[in-house]
Amino acid sequence: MDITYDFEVYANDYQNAGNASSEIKKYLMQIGFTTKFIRKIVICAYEAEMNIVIHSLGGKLTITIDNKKIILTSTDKGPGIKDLDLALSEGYSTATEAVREMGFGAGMGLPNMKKNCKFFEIDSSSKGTIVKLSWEIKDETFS
Amino acid sequence: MKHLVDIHSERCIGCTRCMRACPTEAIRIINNKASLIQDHCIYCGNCIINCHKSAYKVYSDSFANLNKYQIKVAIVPLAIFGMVADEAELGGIYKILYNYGFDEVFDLSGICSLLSEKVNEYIYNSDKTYILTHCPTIVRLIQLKYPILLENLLPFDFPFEIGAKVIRKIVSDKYQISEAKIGISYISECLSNFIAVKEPLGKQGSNIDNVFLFNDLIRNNLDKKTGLTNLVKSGVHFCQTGAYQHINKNNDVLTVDGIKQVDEVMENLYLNKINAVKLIEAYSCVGGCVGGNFTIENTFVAKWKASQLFEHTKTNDDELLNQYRKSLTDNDYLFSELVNPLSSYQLSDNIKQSLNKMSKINQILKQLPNIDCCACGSPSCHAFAEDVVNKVKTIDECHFFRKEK
Ligand SMILES: Nc1ncnc2c1ncn2[C@@H]1O[C@H](COP(=O)(O)OP(=O)(O)OP(=O)(O)O)[C@@H](O)[C@H]1O
Ligand code: SF4
Ligand code: SF4
Ligand SMILES: [Mg+2]
Repeated sequence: MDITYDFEVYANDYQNAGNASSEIKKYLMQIGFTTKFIRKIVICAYEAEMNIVIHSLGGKLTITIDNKKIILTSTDKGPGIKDLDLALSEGYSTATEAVREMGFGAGMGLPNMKKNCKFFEIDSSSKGTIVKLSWEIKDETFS
Repeated sequence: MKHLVDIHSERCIGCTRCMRACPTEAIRIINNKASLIQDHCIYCGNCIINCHKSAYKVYSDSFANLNKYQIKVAIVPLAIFGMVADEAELGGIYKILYNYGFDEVFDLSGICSLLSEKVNEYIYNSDKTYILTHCPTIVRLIQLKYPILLENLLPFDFPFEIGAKVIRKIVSDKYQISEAKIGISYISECLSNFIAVKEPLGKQGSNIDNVFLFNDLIRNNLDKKTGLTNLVKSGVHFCQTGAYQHINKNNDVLTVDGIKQVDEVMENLYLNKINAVKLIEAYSCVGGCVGGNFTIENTFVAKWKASQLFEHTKTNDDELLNQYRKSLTDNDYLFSELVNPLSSYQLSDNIKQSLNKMSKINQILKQLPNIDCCACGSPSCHAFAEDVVNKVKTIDECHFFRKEK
């Protein structure tokens, strides 16, 4: 049996940014994973959510949980990432000055996501970007 | 919290105000009356202040308890500095307490002044971001919602507990009687400290013997007769937010007050979004302890009064400060036990069962309007779905569900 949660994420909606990852945190705590495991997932969810808010035309965050794995998917409606290799390198960012002033745009989001999950996939075209992250559930990830 | 906080069922009208004000979804309306889920409560007192029917009752200790002590000591809360504009008025409040039969009255300015030296020494010896432990509600919030941040919590005990440890020694010396014959009462400004006495955090038993509510004992501060006080000027600021920001000029203290704002800041810390901050000075109450739920002064008037008191206080009581310094051991400043995570939100201790419950919650949620109207007596549609799965509620308690059928 698996459980899926979908969260609509709007472009430039800084007011509600972070709500999806906060809800995700709550659900993972209710299921009862270990705090360290949850933090990794929530940090990834937050980075993915912020990337949709900051860099895309809007999209959604989906998390699917069963007793073997957790899959977090972020999908958006474009404009896509031109150079994926560059986007995945630490410190690369196209964030505007205004966005940087709000504390984003260190170019660390995607690299951190990659570091904090077990499997990482990213696919992008002008129609949109899909980032898929997953984690395996082992005995020690459940408290 | 059993038998400590109760709801008068004849007064409660089930209006949902308290439930909607609760930051941790710890209240439900069941059979038209508010009811507490103790394990989710962080003692912020928002429910009490938001109740317009005076339905909440807090059971403080009975004065008769004091009879068994040879010497009765009262410790007044930090919040008191927001209720007096000068030392004479503070002495007036001391006098009210002497009239109640207390032999000695102490405030916590000196303790906080010494504690701040320890805190500063500690935070500048590490590269972590620390969370201040003045407010028990903040500690509970971390235990419940951010257990991973327990490692960011300072190891220092609450000011009133440190105070009780040293004051007991000093009074025992002064009267030449054993410590057991001294009864120490805390006159609490808030539910948080009140519960922290009754259900100690980070220790086996509290150092306080009895606890009373400030506004039960002291209704006004009009008696201006001077009594002797033991005010330490450098400790006055700790009654409100920003004291650490005030003494640490390095711009590396983040000050936050009001439980919902604190929650958001902790979320930021959790996401590694806060760095270059040495100390998060967090208070559950708006304004800090001067905003405590059992004070008798408006929070913002209190902040102004506390500045007045600071201005009007000439010097530190150095003699007392030295006495404290001599009597306090390093351990007296610290929690004696680890503060542990609370896993009260966890649905079951078996993953399959948890997932099973989650999936049922999800199925129920799909049938609900998701407008969080609260009419069912749960704080959100999601919480209602949880309650249905946990058999606290039945689905037809949702007004929309009923209508559609
Ligand atoms: N969903 C997306 N749609 C379009 N472009 C994206 C998307 N996600 C990332 N990018 C591009 O990839 C770059 C790198 O992303 P990354 O998350 O690593 O850094 P950042 O968002 O710029 O800064 P930080 O995440 O540290 O705040 C972004 O600057 C942006 O150009
Ligand atoms: S004291 Fe605070 S946390 Fe506890 S039930 Fe009341 S509002 Fe909720
Ligand atoms: S901030 Fe409020 S709840 Fe916390 S210790 Fe101070 S008065 Fe009590
Ligand atoms: Mg990013």
